[in-house]
Amino acid sequence: MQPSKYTHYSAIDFLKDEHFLTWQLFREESDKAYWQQVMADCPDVAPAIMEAETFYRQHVKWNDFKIPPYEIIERLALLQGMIRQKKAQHRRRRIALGTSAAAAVAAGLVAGVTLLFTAPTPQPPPLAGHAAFSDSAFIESKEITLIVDHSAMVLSNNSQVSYTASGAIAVHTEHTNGEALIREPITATQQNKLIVPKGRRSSIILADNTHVWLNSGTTLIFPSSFERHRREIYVDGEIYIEVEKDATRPFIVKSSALNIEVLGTKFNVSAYSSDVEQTVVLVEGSVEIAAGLRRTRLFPNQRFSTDNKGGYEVDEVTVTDYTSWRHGWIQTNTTSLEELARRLSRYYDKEIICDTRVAHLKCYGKLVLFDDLDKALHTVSKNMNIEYRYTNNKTIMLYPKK
Amino acid sequence: MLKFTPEQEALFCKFKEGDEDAFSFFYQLFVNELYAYGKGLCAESEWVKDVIQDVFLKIYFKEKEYESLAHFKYFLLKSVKNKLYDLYKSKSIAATTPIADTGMDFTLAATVLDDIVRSDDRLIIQQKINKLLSTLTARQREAIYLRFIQELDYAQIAEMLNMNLTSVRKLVSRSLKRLKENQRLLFVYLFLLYTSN
Repeated sequence: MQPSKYTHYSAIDFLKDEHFLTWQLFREESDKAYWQQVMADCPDVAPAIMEAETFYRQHVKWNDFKIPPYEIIERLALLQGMIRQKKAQHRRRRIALGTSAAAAVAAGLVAGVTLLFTAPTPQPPPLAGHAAFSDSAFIESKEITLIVDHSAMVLSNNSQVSYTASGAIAVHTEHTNGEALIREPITATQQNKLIVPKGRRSSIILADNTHVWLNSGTTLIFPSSFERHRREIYVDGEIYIEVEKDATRPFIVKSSALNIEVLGTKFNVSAYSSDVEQTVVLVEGSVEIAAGLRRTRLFPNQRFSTDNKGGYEVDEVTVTDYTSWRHGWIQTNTTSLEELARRLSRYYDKEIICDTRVAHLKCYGKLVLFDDLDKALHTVSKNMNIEYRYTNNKTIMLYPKK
Repeated sequence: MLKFTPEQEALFCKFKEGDEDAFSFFYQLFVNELYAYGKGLCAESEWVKDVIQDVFLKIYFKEKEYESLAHFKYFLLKSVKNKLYDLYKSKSIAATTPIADTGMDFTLAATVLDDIVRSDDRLIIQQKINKLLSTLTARQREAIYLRFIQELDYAQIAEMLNMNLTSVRKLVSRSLKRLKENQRLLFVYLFLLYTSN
């Protein structure tokens, strides 16, 4: 080695030096040792060497081919168009199948369960994600609707749907004690949608034996049978869920803002995409929640709630306040009258407005959710010492007693 | 080694679940790296661009069972190479132009970006680097490129070059040795030049 050779080298001279370039190109240990020795022997040239290194890293590119940014955007748009087109092809094929399936199911109606069919819909099956929730035509429907592969069936209130491991569907209603096997699935992993409008409730047993209760105004999207490595459902609204334990297949509940991952546990999710706040209340076991890029673990009796600023908080709560709705009553400990009114409003599909003078009042106890809103309102007004009146057919006003 | 930010890792989870925004994100993140690699294999820019579109379209509709983000990137590079090779074969048969048995020759060229240095210095540096690279075989160039620029590991490079692991290690180190020998020759040459004066 002749360190003296480098004494008057500038950064540019180093960049023209073959040995220096070899080191930069391949980052070999032996070359690194050589250049460290040079810097130790001639500390004067060390700054120039470091400058040359920085220059190399920032300015020398290998096969520096780039697609211009505007063209990347164009190509991405083109790709998205091709994806939509391909999806539409899938859809057309599936609609053709769906129509014949609907006919087959109609033949099975002799079982006596009150099910009504509507025509196959042009809506795509929800593949994934939240875009799938916007089937406004069905959400507007007043009855509970189960959509399986484009054929929709209307179910009576409080009916219970269950899926067998193979994906076959059975429906139980209040009118029949027996089971009615409705249909076999066309494809094992097809997505189904259960829509519970305001004023209605339903429950469903999924293919893995997980039990889900749906509160009013809720849409649930789930497959006829789950994939081998993961179980995944989508919810817009409120559910109480008892997840069947299966350590090999995590169960994931998705909403417009949350990803809740569990193995086997019981919890309540209130995630109406129209509400600012989405909450998860854990009854048993443990769950991991991802909101945006943040993850948090929840323990029993804790409530996770998002706020409108993209943050969240976790606090201790009385779980029955959040889960009793599935038994047909509301249990409240610390709920404000305003919140209670919101829950009743959703449950009975009537607008209930609180006068500001009573909105903050705290409610305690158990309110049975009778079939008729008047009975429930009567109980509330008697206990809370307030009055209510219909301002029109759809709107109810709660105000202080005169 | 190949490193990604926590945000990218988080988005990758979403991507695997079929999230469309995450899909677009990774398209934009990798498109130029795939393009640069493809251009090394094949001079036809339009072929490379079409192949990249094809690869992403297929990925969208497939099960996304990648072990990691690094594995996904490797998968992308490999898919681009395979598809380009298929395209090359079909076109060359049609046009009856022969292609080498080894497939496509990988070319590697250095560019020195043009801010800061004077343009004559820039050209000298660029020429020197390219001269060093030209002493390597096409396979050595590809191995070195995948190792140092795309940051694949040796096992992945072995897969891509259809070689076993030890051969790839040898290929990379032999190519380095060859570069050094070349350099020594140059020194001797310069030495002779100086002493003869």
